[in-house]
Amino acid sequence: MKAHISIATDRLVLRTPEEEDFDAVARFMASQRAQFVGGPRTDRFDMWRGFLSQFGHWGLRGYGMFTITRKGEVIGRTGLLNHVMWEEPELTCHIFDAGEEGKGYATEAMRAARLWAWEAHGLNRLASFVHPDNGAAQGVVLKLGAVPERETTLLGRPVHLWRHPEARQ
Amino acid sequence: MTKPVLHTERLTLRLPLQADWPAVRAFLCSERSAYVGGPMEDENAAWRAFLASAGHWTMKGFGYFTVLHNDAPVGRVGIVEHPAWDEPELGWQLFDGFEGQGYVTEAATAVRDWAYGTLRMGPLISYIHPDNIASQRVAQRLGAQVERETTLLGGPAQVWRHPSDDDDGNPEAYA
Repeated sequence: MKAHISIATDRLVLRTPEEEDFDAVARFMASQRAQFVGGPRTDRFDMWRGFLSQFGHWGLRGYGMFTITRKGEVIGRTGLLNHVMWEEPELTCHIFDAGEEGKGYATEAMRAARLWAWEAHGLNRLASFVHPDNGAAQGVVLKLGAVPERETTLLGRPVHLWRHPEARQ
Repeated sequence: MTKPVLHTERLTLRLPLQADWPAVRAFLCSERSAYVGGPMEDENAAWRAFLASAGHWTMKGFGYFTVLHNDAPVGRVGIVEHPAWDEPELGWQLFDGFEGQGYVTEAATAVRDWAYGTLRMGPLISYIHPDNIASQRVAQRLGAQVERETTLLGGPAQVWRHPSDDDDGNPEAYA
């Protein structure tokens, strides 16, 4: 029942998550870098539950967050989130370590995930929900050709809904 | 792996589906979940826990079944093994309004036998809070016995040990 999907880009491999990714994910969720995506969290079991929920997303929806690896090393995750509290499926990306930012990895990974969403699930013109203070994420969705559509809220916090262009662009 | 479906005299046990969410949310946000990590503070926390249960199946190939009676979810029974667990656990949760009918015992017997036969596990344990009298009664009906006291996720827990697969001391548990 576990999907094994792997997507190669120029520099990265996106693959379905594995249990051994947990330490990298937990370090990220415990860090201030997770402030716009449900963190920082402190309780280890709580972080485990969040990690396990990503597997459940794949199990229930058939899609979810891919682990991003570069030369075998886990550097982040990207893919689709469609929780019951979401208005529609969302394309998102978390780069775990600040040292890996500014190299275009998020843009490269999200572009590949966006194309996969369309090819595998017919999901096109995806949304990304971005907190108004999250300048790094805004820069990435701009590079991907997304445009701000409207303001809304997500889990009680203000966000901008950015609309992506056709996946094949 | 294939998706197992277990049938008992009155119940069907299958993997979780999104359709179970309203029943699971009601359970996780109520006092009934006090001994299994609840009540959850809000819908988001409950949804994470629900997805995590589904994810346990995706990651490990076993987890909590949704227990159905006449197509309605009456509870969740299954095998869990989180990192803080000493070994795989047979666990059960009964939703509001379905008490006193033996559903948990019936479902847990089926799951235990499936775990012993298909997963080659056992003899299994159940972690039960010392104040959770209802669950202790279920464990007794299943033929389990208290093995030791421990802590689980910072709270007190009794470790109950279930009979092994070839234990013929309690034949009714295998009926």
